[in-house]
Amino acid sequence: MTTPNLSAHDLSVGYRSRDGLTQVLADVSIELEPGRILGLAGESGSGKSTLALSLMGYRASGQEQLSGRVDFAGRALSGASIKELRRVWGSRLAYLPQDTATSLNPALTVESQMREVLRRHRGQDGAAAVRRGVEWLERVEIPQPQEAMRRYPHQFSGGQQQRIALAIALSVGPQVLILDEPTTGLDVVTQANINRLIVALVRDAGIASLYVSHNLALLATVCDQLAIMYAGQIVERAPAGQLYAAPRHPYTAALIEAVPTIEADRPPHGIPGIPRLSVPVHMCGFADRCRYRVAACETDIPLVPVGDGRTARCVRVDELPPFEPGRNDPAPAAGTAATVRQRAAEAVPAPAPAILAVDGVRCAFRRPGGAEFVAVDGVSLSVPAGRALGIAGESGSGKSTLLRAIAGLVRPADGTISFQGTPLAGLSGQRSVAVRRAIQIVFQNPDATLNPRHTIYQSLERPLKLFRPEVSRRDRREAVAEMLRQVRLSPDLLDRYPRSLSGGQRQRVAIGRALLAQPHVLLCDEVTSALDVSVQASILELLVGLRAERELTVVFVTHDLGVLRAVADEAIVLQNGVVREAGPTVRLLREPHDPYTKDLVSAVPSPRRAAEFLSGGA
Amino acid sequence: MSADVLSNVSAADLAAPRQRRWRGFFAIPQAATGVTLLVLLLLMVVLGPFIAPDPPNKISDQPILGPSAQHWLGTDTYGRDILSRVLHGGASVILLPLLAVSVAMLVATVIGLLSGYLGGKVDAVVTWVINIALAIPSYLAVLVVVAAFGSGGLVVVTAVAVVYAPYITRVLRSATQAVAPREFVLAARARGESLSWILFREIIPNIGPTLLVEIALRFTYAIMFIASLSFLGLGVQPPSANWGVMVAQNRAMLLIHPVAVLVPALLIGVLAISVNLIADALTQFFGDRIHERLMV
Repeated sequence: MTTPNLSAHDLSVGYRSRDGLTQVLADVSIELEPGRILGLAGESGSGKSTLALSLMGYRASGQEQLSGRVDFAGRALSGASIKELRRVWGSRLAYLPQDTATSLNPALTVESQMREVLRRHRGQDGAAAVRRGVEWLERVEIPQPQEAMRRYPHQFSGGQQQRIALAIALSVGPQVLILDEPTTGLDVVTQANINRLIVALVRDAGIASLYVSHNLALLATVCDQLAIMYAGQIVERAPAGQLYAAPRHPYTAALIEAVPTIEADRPPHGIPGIPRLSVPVHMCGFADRCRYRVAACETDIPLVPVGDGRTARCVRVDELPPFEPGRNDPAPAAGTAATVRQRAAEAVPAPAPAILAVDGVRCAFRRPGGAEFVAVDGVSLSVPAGRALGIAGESGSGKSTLLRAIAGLVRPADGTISFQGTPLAGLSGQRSVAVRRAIQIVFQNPDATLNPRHTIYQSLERPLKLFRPEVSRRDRREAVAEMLRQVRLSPDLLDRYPRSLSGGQRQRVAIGRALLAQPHVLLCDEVTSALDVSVQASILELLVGLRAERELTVVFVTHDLGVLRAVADEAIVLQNGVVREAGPTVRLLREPHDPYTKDLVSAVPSPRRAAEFLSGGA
Repeated sequence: MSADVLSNVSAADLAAPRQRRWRGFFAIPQAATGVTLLVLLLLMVVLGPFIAPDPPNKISDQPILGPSAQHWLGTDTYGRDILSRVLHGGASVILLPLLAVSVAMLVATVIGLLSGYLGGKVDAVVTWVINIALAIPSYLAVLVVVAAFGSGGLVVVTAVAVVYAPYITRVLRSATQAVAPREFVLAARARGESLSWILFREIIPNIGPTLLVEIALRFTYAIMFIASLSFLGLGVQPPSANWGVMVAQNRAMLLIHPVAVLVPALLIGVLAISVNLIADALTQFFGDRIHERLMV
């Protein structure tokens, strides 16, 4: 074991606000070693970003360090003056945030940003700095680096911008690199490439790194060690591969089971409840969502060694059964979601008539300036009644536009969309009430899907008013309350406004709004992509269950192939508005034929194939 | 699992009660000052005519008197009691701008919403008209209208409404454009909601803060604008006891009898400032909340 470059001991941090002090980190001890990457995983609000910033000695306004210390190269960073910190930041301690909009200055060329950093931290300027900059752009695989130096950030793609930010950070030669979700928001193939690059550069330069992410599978693939955070505490710490294969803490196990993968034949499982946002007092933070809860959970629980250099924070760690994904699945019984899915997956392509058919649909937009942008270019597909079709693709593939065309929100320039054999009008306003009722859509963004100024009841009552006149005014409230129960929400929420609901709850309301119309076809546009993994899994479970109960036909748009596998019987892969491949989901993911689909599949991080992933995929 | 979901919603998640929000508003210093000043002025304008010692146009045989026990603020060239004229003269100073802004706001709201929501050709035409209208200087436009239709309260109100409508339309159009592509509006369209439902029930509540701030701000401008027009002799006509008219009529004796000019001028200023302070406070208040409401 080498001496750690950066370490935290019993670090506790809180935020002070008008309502008092909220503790967000409790007794966190970690150390970063040269050339090693420590992965820090957790859901939103778990304190992982606060930890990343605290490790740099950064103190946000209102933030208070309650106990512990942060040491960097033998010196205390916690409590250091801002002057001392500035000497360290950027030169020996580098930070790469998620959004390049915050790390790159849009008004300066790459060269001037690179030179400024080198001048400030290495005293290098002029030709030497430019040479070093070009060299680093080459190392992060920016094509034509000399040329690239003279360009502005907006002239690069999102992935290239993150590469440039990485090059600037590493060009100074830091000893520690802190990565805060550096590839979140990028396309999956780009993500894979940048992650490969990060791992190679960090190992090569012997930089001690912390990689913060919500994506457990990704961390387990690219990191050496993994720490899992929940409610401001590290609940488990182990070598990455071991942790993913055999988690010891119930939260880690539940989190792994919540991640939809493209390999396993098990549906993801949600964790009941919503993530806890502050440090628990004298109890296990996960207790109220844990299925192994006992009375002993209500004490202060220390992080204890559990062998093999691993630690876990659970009183029952020695008595818990070994991890076995899917062990808690209900036994498949007739009519349950699981069997319906299974039946559907096994069934020979059914000759059932298509309830929804899209034929040669083309959607184009006119850009300012007159140039035409084709979002969907001649897509045809058909969905038999009662089946689930997944549409996968990266951002810009036209998948959402296609879905909006089906919903009547975008008028196709060409082609037809038919429902039960009848061609539909382009815009929803021109369609019959019966058709509008039969095809319902649920959107991606839980923050915008409900009108912030309408109560939950006001939002849910509309489909009843418009589509189900048979429900009398008096019965509406009861019908809406019943729907809330069906989407596993309390009817107490009826008179709340969306802002007092969590993202997952809002998404459930949105699904309920669609279902109140009693549709035949449910269109889902990335409905889980803005949610935490555990919440995403419960929404997916809900959808799969509702689909079986109501014999719904589902069209599900997603960029996540794991989610695709979890919900879709059949799938199509879109790229630049064109269908690249179509077929049963399981086969399509197992044996992709199209080169683009192959790229997509091999870009999905997989802890089991970590070496393969890091060496550049298939 | 449903039980767990249910138990995770605590009373703290409930929306803040209306009462607390108002307290939050008055905690802003500009709000407290602005509202206090405005309430005092309104009291004066409403109660003024009842407590005024004389009718506004009662002519006495004592012109150009300084302040005295009989005439607290003195008299003007016609021997009219200035205090009485001040107490009578506020109503039109407030009502005419209010009327003008209301009319402008009504027209602008409908056009701005339609233009922002429908986009396309409607928006192109509206934008074109707005841009032309904005290029014409406000005073010039009003002068032309007054020249054509004669002066007087109603003409001025109409003219000011016409001049201000494009400004307000532009603000509401862009506020609408920010809300229109949001998913709850798309959901309403997919449901097949009527245009009026989408505009007035889905969009308007979400641009309410912008609307309110714009009303308050325009009201300030209109007070000053109409008072200036009255001063120039284009608005309210003598012998009305309008504060703007009083400043104009008494300015000849500014040096010998300054109170007669300063008091009405000061009152116009205080009125404009109080409304402006409220507009300022509203901006701050909603600025804090707009994020909460729309983004989060």
